[in-house]
Amino acid sequence: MTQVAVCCGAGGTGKTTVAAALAMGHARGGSRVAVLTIDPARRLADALGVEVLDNTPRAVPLEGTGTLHALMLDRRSTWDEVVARRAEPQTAERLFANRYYQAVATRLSGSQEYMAVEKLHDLVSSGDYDVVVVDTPPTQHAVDFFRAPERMRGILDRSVLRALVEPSGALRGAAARGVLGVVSRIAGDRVMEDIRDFFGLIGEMSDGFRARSEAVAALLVSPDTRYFLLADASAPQRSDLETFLAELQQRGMGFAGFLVNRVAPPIDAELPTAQALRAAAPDTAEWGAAVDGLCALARAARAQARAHQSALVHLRKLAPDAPIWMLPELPEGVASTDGLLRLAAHLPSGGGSVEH
Amino acid sequence: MNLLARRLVVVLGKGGTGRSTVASALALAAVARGRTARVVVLGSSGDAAPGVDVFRVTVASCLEAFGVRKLHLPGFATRVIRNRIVATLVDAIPGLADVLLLGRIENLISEPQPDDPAADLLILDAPATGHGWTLLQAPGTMTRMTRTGPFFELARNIEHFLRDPDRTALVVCTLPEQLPVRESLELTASLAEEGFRTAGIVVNRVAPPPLLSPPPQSAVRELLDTVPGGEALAALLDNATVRQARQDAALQALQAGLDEALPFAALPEVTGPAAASLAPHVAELL
Repeated sequence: MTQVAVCCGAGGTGKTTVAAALAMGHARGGSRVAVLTIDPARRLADALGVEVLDNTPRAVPLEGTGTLHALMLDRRSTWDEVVARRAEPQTAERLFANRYYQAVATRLSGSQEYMAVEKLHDLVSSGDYDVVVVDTPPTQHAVDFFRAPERMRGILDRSVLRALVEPSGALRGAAARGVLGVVSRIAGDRVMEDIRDFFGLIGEMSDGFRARSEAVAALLVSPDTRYFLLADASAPQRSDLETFLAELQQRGMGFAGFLVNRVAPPIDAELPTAQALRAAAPDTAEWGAAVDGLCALARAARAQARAHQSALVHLRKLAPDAPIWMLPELPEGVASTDGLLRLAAHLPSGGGSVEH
Repeated sequence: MNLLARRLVVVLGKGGTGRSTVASALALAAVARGRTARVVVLGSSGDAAPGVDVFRVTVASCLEAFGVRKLHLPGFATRVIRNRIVATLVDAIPGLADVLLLGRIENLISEPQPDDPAADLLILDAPATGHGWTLLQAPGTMTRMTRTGPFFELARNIEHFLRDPDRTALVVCTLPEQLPVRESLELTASLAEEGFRTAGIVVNRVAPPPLLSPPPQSAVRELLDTVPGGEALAALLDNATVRQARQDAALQALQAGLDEALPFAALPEVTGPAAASLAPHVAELL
């Protein structure tokens, strides 16, 4: 069975990088791994050192027996693939030519998330991988990843849009015609026509769509699919952790634990006091400034270590039994394969230790 | 960047780069110069700093304003607009919501109504990169889909407004790190390709050098060797120095990657209420 690890978290928490490192850790452990990123900004390609990242899995050069393939979701291609697979050739052709499909269907709200899960389903059912790691689209809230596919299915499936396709059916009466009139006046007649065609065509393939989206939804709640939540060590509240955890539980999805990113190194030793530094330094203005700088450095490091410790306390309170992995801030950054491997050593896939 | 000469500032950038903080800081700085400024926040998400005048626009409120002002719909019809069918349709045409939101902003500036709160400068706290970029492209997409009608007019007006550097300034927020810098360069390149001009780049959370002045680091290390606990502090200094080098490289890459001499401002890392502390630093951008 393919194991799926989904990396969730608010924008700016480092999801993409951590997903890549997690995948790399699994591959170094000898597994056949795929990592799917959604981020359109090619950040994963940068870090992995691959030229092209697109809708097809690309091999990442790696030592050892495991393999790592990386791909980046291309919304439009995935839509085209889904349509080509589900629709009669004639219907597919008409859909591809539809202006609404070309202009906005691929940008329907939630379609990115929906297509990510579609792609994930492909990767899992191919049987080619032991582990699939998924980076989720940048959203304000981590929970958007589960809500969006439903929202998107709702749009495609909703009776209201059926009503637009067959206005004489569901929408009888003057009030209903009034509504449609207003909509047409806002959007323009031509747009309405394109939209009617689009939903008419989608309707022809709706049985296939529904069967597929049920399978896709089942994958999200499978016991082999587990969710990691990224938290920024300096601002753990940013991810709406509580809402996220409640939603996971309500949906019966498996929580894998917290990944706390960019944790400052703990200060084990007692740092020298300003007095001690001053006593040791030559009594010049230059050295005075240097000592002030060193003291500021020590102060900032202590304050940061304290803040990160309280972040840990906050997470423990939210989910007392959940494992927490603390990922250190790597001063040299994580912009290369080496950096990713260094980060992987702190992750569950690379043997990183759990905070208790 | 001469922002005070414009009517609208759009703050773009990827998630976590501090767009909201910069938007609020710009508003506070403009007010300190005697102007009225308002931060426009889309939907229910996002927020502004205390003391900043916020205007929150939702798709429903924009749709209603559009119905009344452009379509001259009578009162009962605006109730129709709240109808769930209309809501579903707006959901189903992503560009529609974006154009309505931008249209409302443009409308606030060019045709202020007695009940509209007016301001010299509107600062739009745009959604993160992906959606922010889609938002800017929405009017173009909609003009290609529709060829006539009130909505076409609206989309075309907004396009002109957004592309007019005398009225609109696009500001890109970033961080002094390799990946965010690379993303901002990609964003400014995409903007330029589509005919938008970026007014400037704001680099957030730029750390000062760990030690401001000589003596040389080797001498400092020698000193630390003689002090109890000095080793741990030396390790902190090493980390800070490596981070600093990484930051310098990122800032250089940013400067090298920008085609023209695009103005860019570096904002320091601050503690406490960020927008208020940053206001004096962003004042130079105005």
